[in-house]
Amino acid sequence: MTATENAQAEGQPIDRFVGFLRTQTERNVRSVRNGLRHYARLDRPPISSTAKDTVWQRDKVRLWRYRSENRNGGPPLLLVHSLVNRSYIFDLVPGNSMVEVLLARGQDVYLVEWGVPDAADAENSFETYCDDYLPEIVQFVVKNSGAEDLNLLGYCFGGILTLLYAAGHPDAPLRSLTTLATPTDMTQMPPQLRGGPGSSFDPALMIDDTGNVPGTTIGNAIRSLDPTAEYAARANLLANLWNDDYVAAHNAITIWGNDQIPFAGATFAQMVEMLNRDNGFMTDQLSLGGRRISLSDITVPFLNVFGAKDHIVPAAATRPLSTLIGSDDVTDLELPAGHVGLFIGRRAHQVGVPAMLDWIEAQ
Amino acid sequence: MANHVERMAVLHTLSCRGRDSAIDRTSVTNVIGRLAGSTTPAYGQKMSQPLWKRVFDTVERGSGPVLTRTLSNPDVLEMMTLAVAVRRRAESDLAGLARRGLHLFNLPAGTDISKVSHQVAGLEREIRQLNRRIAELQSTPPKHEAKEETES
Repeated sequence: MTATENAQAEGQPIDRFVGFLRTQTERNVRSVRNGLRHYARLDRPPISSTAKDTVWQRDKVRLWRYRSENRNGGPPLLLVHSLVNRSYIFDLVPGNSMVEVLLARGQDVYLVEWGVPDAADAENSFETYCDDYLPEIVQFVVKNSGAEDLNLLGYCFGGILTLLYAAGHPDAPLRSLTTLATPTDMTQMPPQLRGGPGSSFDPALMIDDTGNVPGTTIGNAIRSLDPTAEYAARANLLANLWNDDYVAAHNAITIWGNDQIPFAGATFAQMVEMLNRDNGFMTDQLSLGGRRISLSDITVPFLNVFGAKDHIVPAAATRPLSTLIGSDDVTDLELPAGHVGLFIGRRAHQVGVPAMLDWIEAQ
Repeated sequence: MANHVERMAVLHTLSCRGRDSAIDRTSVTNVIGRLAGSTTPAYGQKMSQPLWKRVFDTVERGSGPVLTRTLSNPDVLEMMTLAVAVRRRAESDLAGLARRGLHLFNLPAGTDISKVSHQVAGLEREIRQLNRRIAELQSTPPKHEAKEETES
């Protein structure tokens, strides 16, 4: 309760009434101000504002290294994001940024920004990302940081890329591999994101004139998992317009949530065929660049992080991953969080992310 | 290490609780609540809400699961895919009509621009391949130099 609200609760009936009026007036004024700022889009938060340098670039792919005076001298941590939305979720807003937490712990943080694909990237396949970009990026990070190896962390589809890379390059200089909310058993995925065995779903229908799957198609598929959530979020915003913190948090999350980018058509078709229809991770039917690969070839220490409340990649789709990895050192970390709550929000920054870091630093 | 074990134990307890409770349908709104801090209620938390919000919540809670179930029905999904195919076909037919009309007046149509952008994309891909090839050649020493080194 605020001081005004305390006074209003403790005083005489007339004082309480005056206090109530004052609180409501203050809230209404703030609501109108925040509503106008929101409508005019003047309330956009400073997204991805942690200082960083682009240390490597090829085509649309950039590699960022975050500035820090506090590096602990350990192996660098390379973050690999999904291909279907923007990487700034790792560095959302000041005070609510996973990158800030990592830097505060002395990590040397690198992040792969895949860029926004267009027609020139439509033919990018798993091989482009896992046999071409990632090996070069990993070698660059090792050389650039002066370390012998690195810790690799992939989120969502980025986790799939790191798994395929690690399985296809068993001699890669990896100290450890961590995946966050990475789908493995596709039969456990929501039907809207599955297109699985027996499905008549034709991936070509999703591909537009540029040869990619439009960001709006991906956004609609994700929104259809919980069709009223968007309206509930708007209603909550309207009810909490008086609260500056709530409005700021709403903007940060919804801007990212609605910022889907096109998905390279060739990778999408490969994903539908190899991972969804054949359930390749579970059935051990994976190939990369024409060669057979297997998750059992991943022998580095492995951490599988997933959210018990994740409705996009349910825990049941992620949990089996640990049983498929060939490493002797495999750990599961199930957090009571949703898809983004794994590393965003106060609880994640106080408990979840530090637990991941404890594991990574112990390797 | 003890700290690590302690944290893992806390997480285990939390995750057990998470499993017991109902799955949050609106995890994003919950994250917003958490980001905004403890003074702001997370989605679904009890507080004095205006009447319109209580009505909205009641309707949303009732209709949300029904809509979610409907949209994950295989028949509905197939219809949505078909709708995409039909829309593509209709767009293609309309584009054909517009192209014929515009070409009558020697004006470029959207399909012409699309064709050019595909050609540009193809050129960009070729440049990328050439750049890659050049980088590979630069990173490996020429054969005659390697031979000279062996001889000396």
